[in-house]
Amino acid sequence: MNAKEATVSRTVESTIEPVVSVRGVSCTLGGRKVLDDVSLDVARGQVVVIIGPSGAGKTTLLRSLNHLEEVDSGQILISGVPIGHRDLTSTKRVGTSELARRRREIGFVFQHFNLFPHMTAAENVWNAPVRVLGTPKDEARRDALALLTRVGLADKAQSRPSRLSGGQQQRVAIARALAMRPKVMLFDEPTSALDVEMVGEVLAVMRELASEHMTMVVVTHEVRFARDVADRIVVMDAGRIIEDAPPAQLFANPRHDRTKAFLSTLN
Amino acid sequence: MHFDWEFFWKALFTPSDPFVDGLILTIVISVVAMVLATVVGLVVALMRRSRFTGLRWLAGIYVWVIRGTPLLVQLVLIYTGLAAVGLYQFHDVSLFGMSVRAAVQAAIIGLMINESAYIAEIIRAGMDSVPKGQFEAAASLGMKPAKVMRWIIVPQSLRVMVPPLGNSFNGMMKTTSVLSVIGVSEMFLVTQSISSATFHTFEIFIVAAIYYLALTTIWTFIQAWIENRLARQLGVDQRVPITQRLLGARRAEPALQQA
Repeated sequence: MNAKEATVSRTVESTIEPVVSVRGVSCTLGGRKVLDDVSLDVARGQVVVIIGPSGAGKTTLLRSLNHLEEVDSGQILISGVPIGHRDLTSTKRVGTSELARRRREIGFVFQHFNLFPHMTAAENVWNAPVRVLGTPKDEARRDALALLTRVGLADKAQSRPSRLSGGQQQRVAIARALAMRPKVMLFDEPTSALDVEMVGEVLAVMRELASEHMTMVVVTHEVRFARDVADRIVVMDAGRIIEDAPPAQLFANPRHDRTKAFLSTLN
Repeated sequence: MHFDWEFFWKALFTPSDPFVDGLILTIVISVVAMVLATVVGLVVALMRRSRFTGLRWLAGIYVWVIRGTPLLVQLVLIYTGLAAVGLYQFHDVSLFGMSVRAAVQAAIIGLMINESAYIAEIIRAGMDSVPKGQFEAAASLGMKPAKVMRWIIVPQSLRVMVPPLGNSFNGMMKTTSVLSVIGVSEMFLVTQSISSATFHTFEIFIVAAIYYLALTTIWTFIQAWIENRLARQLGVDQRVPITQRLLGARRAEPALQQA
């Protein structure tokens, strides 16, 4: 196969290939098996919400998608590229530079925002494009302002995170992740650390993202959000995926007893 | 009491050339040793955080040995000891048109090694003060480790590191008096020789004390300026009154927190 053919076949492949592909992943943390042979595919433009009782492995699974958590076995592919290994067939760990490069395509939103406290909201957003991608500063600044406008925080561009409410901080964090133009956005309980009255504003931004066909994987306890926005809901329990179905089907007719038990605790 | 006021005022306000040279040498050695110690300390601190076990061990042993032995012993080992066993003999060299005495070289290296072990611990503590979430957020944006350090971790940890680093330098300026042992003609040794030549021991050592006090006081002001500037850059309100700095008062260091 010559180079041109290779490019063509890769392009074709990428259109049918899932953005996120988890294959038989297991992970042990502190002697406990947190993920037990988990497999999951997320197609382009899909919104997958992961729910389940605490300790089920939701957050670990999400963090392993951009290698914040290292798995023991199995494979995690982002757009067909294994996140933690050198290539598809290799079992060798990826180097730090290459890992950094691969992470640029994956946006991550943390439960506790993790904004950079020494930077303004705008700087939080434009910093990575400038330092990592080499985007010219004025261009990155313009993009940052546009992103902050999009999450409704144009007027807070020059504020430090310490001057922002939790909901505002989380919206800046989403803008920061979007600034890298990721292929997929991962949300780790993005509203769990927020006061009730601020949950709505963050979910609204996420709803909008979903409506623009951003590929999203969301760990959350917000059932209404899951029901409205998710294409699929994945239920985890004790490190395993026990159910994976569209919301309508899942809520109307949960197949697994544990799913029923878990759903009943939410209402 | 026989306190020769005339001698005292003269020594204080019109110090002899050797005394001024000694003062300058004290300052120069302190500054050079501090800068070098910070560089070495940074390397050792990074080694202690390395993912290679061997490097971590090596750095740990370095800190353990250097902090656990007296500077005086280290100095004599470096200057006299190395020469005695025929390993290394310091020679006067010419650097940028200035002659640097053998003892001064040994002094700078000794102070550098000694101080670097303490500074390594200051830097390590500074980096440890930055929450893990900051590393993760930076990593998730695709930053390589060097950039994570440069743009995210160092700016935040500086605020924690600068006060103890400044105090280190303050201590360093006073510690240079130990260098008299290997014959570095810094302020203490000069004072001593003036003392033995004039027998005005009390007067001349009071003068020396005043000059040391002036050095450390000036540095306290500079340090205050640096800290306030840094605090402003990081957008935190923190002012320590200068009287509190000089006269000493407990101050709680508010942890650098997000949110």
